[in-house]
Amino acid sequence: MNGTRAIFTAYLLLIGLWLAWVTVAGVLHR
Amino acid sequence: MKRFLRDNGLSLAFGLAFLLTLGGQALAGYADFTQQQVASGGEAVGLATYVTSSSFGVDVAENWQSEYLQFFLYTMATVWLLQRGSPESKPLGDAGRESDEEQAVGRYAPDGAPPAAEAGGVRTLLYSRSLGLVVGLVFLASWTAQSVAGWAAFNAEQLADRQDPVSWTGYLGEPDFWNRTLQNWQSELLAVGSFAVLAVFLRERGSPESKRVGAPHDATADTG
Repeated sequence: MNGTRAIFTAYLLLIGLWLAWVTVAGVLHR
Repeated sequence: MKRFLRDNGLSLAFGLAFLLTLGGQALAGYADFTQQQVASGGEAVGLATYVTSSSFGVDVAENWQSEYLQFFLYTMATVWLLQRGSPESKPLGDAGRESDEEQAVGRYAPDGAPPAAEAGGVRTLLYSRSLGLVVGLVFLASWTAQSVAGWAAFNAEQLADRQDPVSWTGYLGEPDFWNRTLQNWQSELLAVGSFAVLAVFLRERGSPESKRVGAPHDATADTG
């Protein structure tokens, strides 16, 4: 299950990092 | 490697398809944005500037939030709401959180159960809600990202039109925010509601989203 856990982590990281970036960039862009 | 691909086909194929379509959205969105800029006498920007813009950000985030809202609502609603004949429903009579024995937690946890399922107390309680919690949090974070990026994009247009910018809370009352939000919610809710009942009478041979082809229409919770 290690490979599957790596995909699980990759999905959560991708979602979390992108949302954090869009939110922070949006606040700074204003 | 071959085994890894076979064991993870679903998550890998959809992840790859996601990246490709996100790239496609970036290119199409950039072309559209450039057309509008040129038409309104504005300045054209580069692709890198566009994909890091609030305009691209809000377009992506508004779709994400509705998808995660869909999965959140579906995960939570199906605990209590049932649908006779649907493979998406639990058996009639199983509504609710169910007993520890039925859920195989605490002293009923089998060998190989996640330690958090066996531990009891707050740890098991949290783990028992972790799917809804995470999906719900991703929904809230996406909706927040949509509101912030949408606010920045909205104000950029306000300034281009020589109109006053609005505050973030002001943007939450703007038709732009609710139009983006509700146009995504309505489609998700229609898809979920219709799918739950389409799958009562229609079949897809071999799909776990469908009942077995020969299952009676009133067979609830059958999985093909």
